[in-house]
Amino acid sequence: MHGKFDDLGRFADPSVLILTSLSDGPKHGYAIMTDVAAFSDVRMEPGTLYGALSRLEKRGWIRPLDTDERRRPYQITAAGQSVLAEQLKTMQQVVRTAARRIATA
Amino acid sequence: MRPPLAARLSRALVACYPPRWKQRYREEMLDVLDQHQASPRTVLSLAGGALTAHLDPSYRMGRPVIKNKAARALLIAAAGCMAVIALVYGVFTYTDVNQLIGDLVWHPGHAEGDTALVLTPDQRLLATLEGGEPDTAVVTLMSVGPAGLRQLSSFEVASPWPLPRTATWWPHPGTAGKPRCGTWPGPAIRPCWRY
Repeated sequence: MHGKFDDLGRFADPSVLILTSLSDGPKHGYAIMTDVAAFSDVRMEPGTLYGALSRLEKRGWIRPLDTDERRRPYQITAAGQSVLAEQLKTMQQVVRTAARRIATA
Repeated sequence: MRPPLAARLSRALVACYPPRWKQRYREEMLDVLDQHQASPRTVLSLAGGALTAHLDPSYRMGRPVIKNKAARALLIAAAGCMAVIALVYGVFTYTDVNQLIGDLVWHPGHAEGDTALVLTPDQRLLATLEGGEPDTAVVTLMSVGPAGLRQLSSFEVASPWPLPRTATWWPHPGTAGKPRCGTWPGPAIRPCWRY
């Protein structure tokens, strides 16, 4: 179900959450963690967060901005928005199918 | 695991990432840890992250000491296994003592004097209370493991004794030669062996 996220391994799901979080503007590490917890109820830990951030940055799906003291905000790129949109389309398809099957079961 | 211990371990684990990773992310990660309440999950997450980063070729620096790829992979895998075993052992050994103390169930100890033994329900922490002057006693905390008892700390207590604020119960030397327990804060005292 991950598609382009497949080769991210265990960082695939956190990556979707991070890209979703960055969709409404740049955020630094801790802000991403709190935002993800607020909209998904997932408590992401720093090791997972930075493992995913480094992979997203390598793929060019996010880019780091200038640091504000020790905090470095990240911004989603056009490529990141594109893979996120594609991923969400797949997830919506899964949700629709599951809902339909549950309703008829 | 006590939060300060988890916080210290978390910061130590950031130092275990490869140098190239640290150049890029160390300050940010420490900033996040300053704001984040560390837990055993944080420690495990950072241990896994550090291991994964070491396995990532883009974060290795210089020429490898062991040139044979298979031997290097085997060595890394063995080191990884040892790290995970050590970490899991550490996590289970340093269980949150405050939580354990909160779950104490007292048993009457010696028939004479203000003496009591207390074992947590999971039987991993033992506390002994030896009476002294009224309202003073010596409490010794010990971990219980396959290798036997290991003393964690020993301290003199009065009323109330200096336990962390999260502790619900503390032993209180009785006045009739038997240990008593009480809740803190509050004056309620009742016999320890009524469990």
